[in-house]
Amino acid sequence: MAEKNIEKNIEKETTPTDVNQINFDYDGRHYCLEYTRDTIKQMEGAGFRMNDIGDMPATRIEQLWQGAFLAHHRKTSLNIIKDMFYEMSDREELMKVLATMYNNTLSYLMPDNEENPGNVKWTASR
Amino acid sequence: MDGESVSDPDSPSYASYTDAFLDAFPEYLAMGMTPDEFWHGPSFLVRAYRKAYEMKKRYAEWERWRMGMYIYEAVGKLAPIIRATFGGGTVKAGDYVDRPFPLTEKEAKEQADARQIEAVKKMIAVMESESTRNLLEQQNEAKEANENGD
Repeated sequence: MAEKNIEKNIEKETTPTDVNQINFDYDGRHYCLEYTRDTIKQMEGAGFRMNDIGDMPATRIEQLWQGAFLAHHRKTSLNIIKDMFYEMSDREELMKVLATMYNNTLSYLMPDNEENPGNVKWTASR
Repeated sequence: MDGESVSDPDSPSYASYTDAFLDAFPEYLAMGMTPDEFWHGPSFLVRAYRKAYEMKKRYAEWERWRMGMYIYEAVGKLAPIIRATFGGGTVKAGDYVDRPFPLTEKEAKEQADARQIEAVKKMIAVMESESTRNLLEQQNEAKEANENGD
């Protein structure tokens, strides 16, 4: 039991923060998922809000996934996009990465740690 | 992001990401980013534009400093004529600033630290040259004493 607790307390690198694209191949085609500020503007125009993801997880997760196709695969049909989601591996990690990519479009606008070396450094862990 | 106030009262709060983007948009246009790059380009591009803008400001400041040096040099060359015109005098012109004015607090601190280090090095050099001189004098005195003793 003690060993399991120690294992849980070990800091583990989780979702990388500096991610901008997700690339994969599906049904003979290469897909590059990315959020731009314009696609986020479109997503918010259609009613998406990242803060609601806890209240409406199913809906928001679907919208977050679909929104990632707007930048480079606008003409891909929604049915194919939905099917693709259920065939992706490690969907939990995938959603975390998508959420990070979504947030990065805003966080990149703010001066980061390299520009303010005096800021407190922190790490995420499970 | 949802319109709630944040702990820092000076930090703006936005109802949506779109509002935050629209607020930042003019600033990045001023930095030279095109609207297409801001809205449709990779999201990390803004970091490169910010750093490039800081570098541009620094280069421009260096250029102004160099221009000031040329002007200072030119006026200095004219100084004898000006002195002669206005009745002479032996007042020495002040030194030109040794580096461009700092643009940020961080730069000001770095310049102050650099000046302090230069002052300490100068002091050490002076002390070393004095101690070397004293040592040489002592050696000469000892040599003379030996010669006289012989």
